[in-house]
Amino acid sequence: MSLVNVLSARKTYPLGDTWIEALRGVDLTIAEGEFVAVWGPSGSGKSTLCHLIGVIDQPTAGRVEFDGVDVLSLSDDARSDLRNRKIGFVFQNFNLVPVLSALENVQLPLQMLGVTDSGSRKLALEMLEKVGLADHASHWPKKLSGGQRQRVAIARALINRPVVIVADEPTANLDSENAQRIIDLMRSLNREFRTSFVFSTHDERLLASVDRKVHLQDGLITEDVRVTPA
Amino acid sequence: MNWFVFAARNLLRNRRRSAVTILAAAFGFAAVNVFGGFTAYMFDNLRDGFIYAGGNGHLQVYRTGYKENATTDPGGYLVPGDVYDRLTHLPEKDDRILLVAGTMELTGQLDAGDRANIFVAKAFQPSHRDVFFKESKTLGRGASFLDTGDSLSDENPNEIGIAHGVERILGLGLESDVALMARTVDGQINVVDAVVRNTFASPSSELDEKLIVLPLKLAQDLVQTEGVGRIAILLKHRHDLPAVEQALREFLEAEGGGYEVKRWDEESELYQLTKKMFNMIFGIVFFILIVIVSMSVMNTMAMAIIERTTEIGTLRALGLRRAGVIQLFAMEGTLIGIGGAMAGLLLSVIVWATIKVQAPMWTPPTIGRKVPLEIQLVPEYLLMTSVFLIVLTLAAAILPARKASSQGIVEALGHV
Ligand SMILES: Nc1ncnc2c1ncn2[C@@H]1O[C@H](COP(=O)(O)OP(=O)(O)OP(=O)(O)O)[C@@H](O)[C@H]1O
Ligand SMILES: [Mg+2]
Repeated sequence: MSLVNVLSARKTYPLGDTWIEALRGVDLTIAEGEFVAVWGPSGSGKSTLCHLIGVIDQPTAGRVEFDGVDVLSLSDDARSDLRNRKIGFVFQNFNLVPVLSALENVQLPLQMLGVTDSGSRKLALEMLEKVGLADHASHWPKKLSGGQRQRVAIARALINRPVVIVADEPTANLDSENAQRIIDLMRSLNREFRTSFVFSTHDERLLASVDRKVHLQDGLITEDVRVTPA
Repeated sequence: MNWFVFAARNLLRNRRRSAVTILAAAFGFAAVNVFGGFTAYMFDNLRDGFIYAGGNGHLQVYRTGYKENATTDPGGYLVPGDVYDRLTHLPEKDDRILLVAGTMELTGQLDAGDRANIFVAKAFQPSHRDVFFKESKTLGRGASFLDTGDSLSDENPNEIGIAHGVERILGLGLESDVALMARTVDGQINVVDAVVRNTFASPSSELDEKLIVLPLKLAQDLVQTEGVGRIAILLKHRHDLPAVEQALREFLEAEGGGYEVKRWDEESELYQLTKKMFNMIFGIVFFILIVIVSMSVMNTMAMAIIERTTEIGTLRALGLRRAGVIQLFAMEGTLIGIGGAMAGLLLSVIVWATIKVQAPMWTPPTIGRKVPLEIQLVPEYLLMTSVFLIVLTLAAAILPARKASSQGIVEALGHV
């Protein structure tokens, strides 16, 4: 079943007197449980595509459907709720809230849903355990290494059991060893929870374990290959 | 963790900035309350000065036209003796009324043998004056203007008090014999003898060489009447004023009408003017508070919002609604307001306690002698300023937060 449908999506940015076409008509369908890598050179439009899939931005032309619903037809609040319940986000710079502990960062999406502190605490601890950081629950983000921060961010993205997690260059700020660990972690969580993952990267070495490789170049998908699981 | 804890921790991110903002709010709070407390004390003093020390009572009764014609035709506008007599029996029937005190203002000539000068006299029953002083709360019991000599008494109706200026220019002293000369109500010239019993400092320098006080009985003898000029009505409790005022009007209407019943605040011009002036100053202080606090909170919030743009983008990407962002910053503003109100309360209490302990002396314009300065802690003011401060900081936070919440998520995330 398809979760996200990107249909003839275009995105243009004004640049001085002209326009930059970040996406020039992209069609992409993400199905349940898929583990997708969007790869391509810098400036090819990976981030822009991730923003559209994550419903934090809208196409200039074309459509993005989530569960068959055109996200443009939704109000801002409805889009916020959609992100909260159905989409998880992992950022290149981890983007943990510095005044919240690792545990509290993971609790955040539940807190937005209105779950009580005691209710969300247990779930968040379980999720931290899944990413191997249960013993770091009370740590402040600044006391954690880059790899640990990104694992907290993944736990945070997963806490509301979204149907898809969007990760824009989740490994760009990590060394290659930690980068591979993050991809492996996402892969195992993808298998465990059946959550779809879409991550972008310009590092081809990280594509080994993916189901599907979407290659972007100059705002167009030049290649979309499914890899039969090894 | 809940949103309030989150908001509180956000304030602690930049402790110095938050502390300065809270202090600004606290100073504003304290400024308003200390000034408001001083104003309240001033108003109470002015009020009691007029009602008690001035012997004017809570209500004044006089014949219509008395004020306008008292100097040219004093006899023509007196409250007749029988009406006054019936009024003096009111306290027996109406226990809200403590005292009905007739007074008279008159002018004439004061003869000291070889020298003479015109006088302006206030006449009252000496025992009435004692009641006024005894009832006075702000001025201390038994306070009076007496400087030397003894107070006047009902038993000795021929004894008078004179201002220092009168004493000086007529070469008088205690026990001096004088003669008072004035026109009677029928237009005749009449003279009575009197003895100087005390001297006092006149509340106004203009009157210093003319002012004397004398028992009502002597004044009535001098102008040959049983009537009185003004009647001061002293109540037991100020809150009965409107009801008693109404009752008095009805009573006087039954007496044939043609009387004025005035409340103390209508009669005291000084109170009115001072109140107007202080209210204006208070308004200015309040306005300054609003400007300083709101600008300072808005500035703090605007800076916090700029610093935390990426974080706002992150929270929005995680699914926080626009309203949620506004709420978060509103909470932070509210916490500043609460902190400011609490620190301001503390500051106000410290100023209040310092003034209470130090008790600096000053001379209020109405009393003409030194009294300890006080400020009051007015609970209504404290409560109102607290509520106002919190609402103000809340509003000052919401304005920039609204803007922050409506920016694009991608732009916010890309912010560095
Ligand atoms: N806000 C913007 N304003 C103007 N141009 C933009 C904006 N965002 C992206 N672009 C342009 O759109 C194109 C695609 O950008 P995008 O960030 O999607 O690429 P990317 O593949 O993620 O690149 P990178 O690997 O550097 O992150 C680029 O040419 C970029 O300069
Ligand atoms: Mg990018």
